[in-house]
Amino acid sequence: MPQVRNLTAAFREELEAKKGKIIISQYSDINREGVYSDLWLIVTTRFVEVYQYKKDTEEFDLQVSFKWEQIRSVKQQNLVGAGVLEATTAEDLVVLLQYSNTYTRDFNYVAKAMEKLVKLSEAEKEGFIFHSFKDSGKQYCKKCGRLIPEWSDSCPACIDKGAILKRLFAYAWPFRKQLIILTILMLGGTVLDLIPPYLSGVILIDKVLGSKPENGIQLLLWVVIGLFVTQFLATAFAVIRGRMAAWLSASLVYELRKKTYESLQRLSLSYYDKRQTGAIMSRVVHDVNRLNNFLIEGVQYFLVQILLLIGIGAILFSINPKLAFLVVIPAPLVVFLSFHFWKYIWKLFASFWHRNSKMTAVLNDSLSGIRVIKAFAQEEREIDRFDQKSYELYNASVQAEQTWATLFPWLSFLLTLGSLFVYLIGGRDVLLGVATVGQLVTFMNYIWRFYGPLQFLSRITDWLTRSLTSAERVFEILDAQPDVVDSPNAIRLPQIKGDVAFEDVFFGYEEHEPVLQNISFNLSSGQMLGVIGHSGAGKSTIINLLCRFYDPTEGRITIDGVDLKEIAQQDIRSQVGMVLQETFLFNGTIAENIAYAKPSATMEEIIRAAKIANAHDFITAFPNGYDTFVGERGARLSGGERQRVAIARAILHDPRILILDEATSSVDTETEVKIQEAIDRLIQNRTTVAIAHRLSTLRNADKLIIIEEGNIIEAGSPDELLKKKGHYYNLVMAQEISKKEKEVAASNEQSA
Amino acid sequence: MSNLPEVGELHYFNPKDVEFSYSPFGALRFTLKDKYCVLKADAGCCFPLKKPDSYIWVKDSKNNELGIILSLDELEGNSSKCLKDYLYKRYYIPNITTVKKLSEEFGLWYFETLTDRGPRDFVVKDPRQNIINLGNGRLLIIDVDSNRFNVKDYTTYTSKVVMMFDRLV
Repeated sequence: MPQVRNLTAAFREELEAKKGKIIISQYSDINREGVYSDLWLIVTTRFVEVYQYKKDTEEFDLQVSFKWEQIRSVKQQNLVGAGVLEATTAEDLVVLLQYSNTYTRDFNYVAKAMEKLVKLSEAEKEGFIFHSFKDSGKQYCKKCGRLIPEWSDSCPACIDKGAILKRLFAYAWPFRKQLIILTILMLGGTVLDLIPPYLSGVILIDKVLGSKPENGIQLLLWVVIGLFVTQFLATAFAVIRGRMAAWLSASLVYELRKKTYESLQRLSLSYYDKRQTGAIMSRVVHDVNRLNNFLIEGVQYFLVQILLLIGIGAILFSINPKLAFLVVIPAPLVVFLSFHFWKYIWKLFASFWHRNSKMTAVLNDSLSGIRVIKAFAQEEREIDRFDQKSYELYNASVQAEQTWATLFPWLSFLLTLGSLFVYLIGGRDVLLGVATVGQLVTFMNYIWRFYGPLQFLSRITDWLTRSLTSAERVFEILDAQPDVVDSPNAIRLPQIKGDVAFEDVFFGYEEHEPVLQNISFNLSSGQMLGVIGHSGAGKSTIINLLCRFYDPTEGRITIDGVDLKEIAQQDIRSQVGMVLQETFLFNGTIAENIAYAKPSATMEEIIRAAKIANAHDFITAFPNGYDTFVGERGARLSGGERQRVAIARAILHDPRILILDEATSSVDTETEVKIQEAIDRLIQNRTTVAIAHRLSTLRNADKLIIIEEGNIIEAGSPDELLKKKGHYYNLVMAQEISKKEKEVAASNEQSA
Repeated sequence: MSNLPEVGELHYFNPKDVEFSYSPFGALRFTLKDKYCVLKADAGCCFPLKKPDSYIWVKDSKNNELGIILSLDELEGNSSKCLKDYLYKRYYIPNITTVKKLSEEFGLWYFETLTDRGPRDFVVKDPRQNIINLGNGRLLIIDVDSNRFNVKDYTTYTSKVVMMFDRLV
């Protein structure tokens, strides 16, 4: 977290006495020479000043000072890695101060406040309250101050492990009977596994082989029967446990994944804006699997390891305490070495996996772009690029594998040293007659089973942390609340008429960066509104708000006079249809995609919709007609074909309010005519909001609004705007000239 | 390249004809001798990572490009100093001279460093995305606030730091 120093109280008092009431005091971290320092922008009712804190003298040194009367405007300018706050005076443009990107949002608020202050008198400034930027945008843990990683909503260092474990087991609660049986089977299997070494050691060697032949044969038979029964039971337990674990595992994963996916579908778009698709997918796929491993295998395995440690320890001490003590001595060393060994190996393999993913990325990149590579004859270059990544992977692989091949045997060797001591001391005891051969053999058999759990315990913290982190990530999805929710008394509008109004609407995806400002318009049922503006002007945001993917930060949007926030979302979504520039088709047949919004549609309805959308002819030209698979994202269809399937989908949806977002862009003229024809049919008797770069497509609009930087700069009917000779007129003229120039160029080419 | 339309032509300034200076309050002024003076000019690098001293564009306050300076070194004394200083501030990318401490926790990398612009502590999230390998040991590091830091050659750091970077680059 950035270290923000406070102004001393004495300095504040001194300033206020001389310069007027302090309205804004904002810390910055870069001085005029571009060096990290401690600076303060101080805005009072009379002055705008910048002070630098001098550590050596502990004084605030005045750097810049202006009276408010000198300043005409203030603005923030973002540079690369930093930004500046600038003021325009009557004579010059002034750089008030520079700041690192850490303070960009703070100065965004400061610049806006100062823009307002410029227009106020000194008396009015007295009453001005500055609302500074409160949240740094990145969450810091309130408990420990750590930055919270993006993948989590809570601090991983401070998460209540007990609470997560409790909640995790709650998901396994419906399967508690099976889990108890599973645990009993695993524990039973473990106990059975401990019996054979004892039978074949102390019992067989000392008791049976050491007895008289007449008694020995019978005893031997009992030992063999004992070994057979224990191994038979252990195998039977393993089979039952394996089958049950497989069923439990699949059931639990199914339930968890279903709940996670249901939760994802309920969440608002803003949730997805802040997260990468890959990261969300990873939670649904990998984290859920990890939880399953933890609950089904991990917990039982943990119990078994503990039981083994205690059980074997007890057996060893009961057989021969002195030898048992020798076995326990190297235990701390085993834990220590295992811990560091796995930590080191993990880092090497992490590097190997990273390089592997980089090589795969290059491979994916070049195979996807193979046509471009061949068209520009860049095969050799691509071979070099791949070779470089492949060589890096080779190096990482060699390093990881060789380290593994070197360290693992040495670790094993070190572990065997304990057993050598047992051989030495135990063998001597056997020779001296203090211990028996059977005891020695039994010890040797148990030693390895004793060190195994120790190695596991050395990694238990890592294992538990990873499992709980996964749990936290999955719970975060399950707990996330959609930003846009139905009000408790949501109004049902099953039959929307289609009157739409925006009333002084403000909106920003980030609170401090407004995308729409003061947007107002109204549209009667059946009317068409054309929205015109440059890329990034805020056109698509209007659509997002109308669909209620987001709620306005100020103002309101109404349908049939009812605030959108009061209408049940189901009624909005079922009666608002869209045809977007980037048409998304699901992997399925053309018929399935057309009927997506109305799965109950009959074949006849599907065909009629396709005919209205001018799609029927090209669909029937495919060998599989309406049963043609469109491929992933509709990749097997051309852009124009996808567009018309989307229009057919919208026709079948039969929405009362229709949204067209650049629906005819990036297609050839002939296709455009067909799409336009389909759209003209589609918009009949529907309230339509259409966004288009080609103004010709908005010729039938009843109203037009021109958007620039989130504001409506012109509004009216196309005729009114043409007569007004403003922005719309200029845009129309520019497109006309461009069109004519293209026609002339084309005719020149033809004549040439 | 000979068939490119005129719009693709680059307009280079003659280094002897240009003059950069600062206004009393820190705005960049650009003068093309005997032609015009821009009171609030802007300048930037076409290749800020690979060739920060070459291909410097100059724009007026309305973001119209006036021309390109091929090499900073060709400018005369004060102009060169002024423009270098402006770019130094415009591209605020401190060079990390020493990594005092580097630790990792929950996928976040915590840096305590000394830079050529003073000491700086910062945090990097998703280091695989935000520590960019520019080749020959050079790295560009982008922290959680989008501040940028340059590492000239990470292999000169301590072995522990080198090993951590090695995992990524």
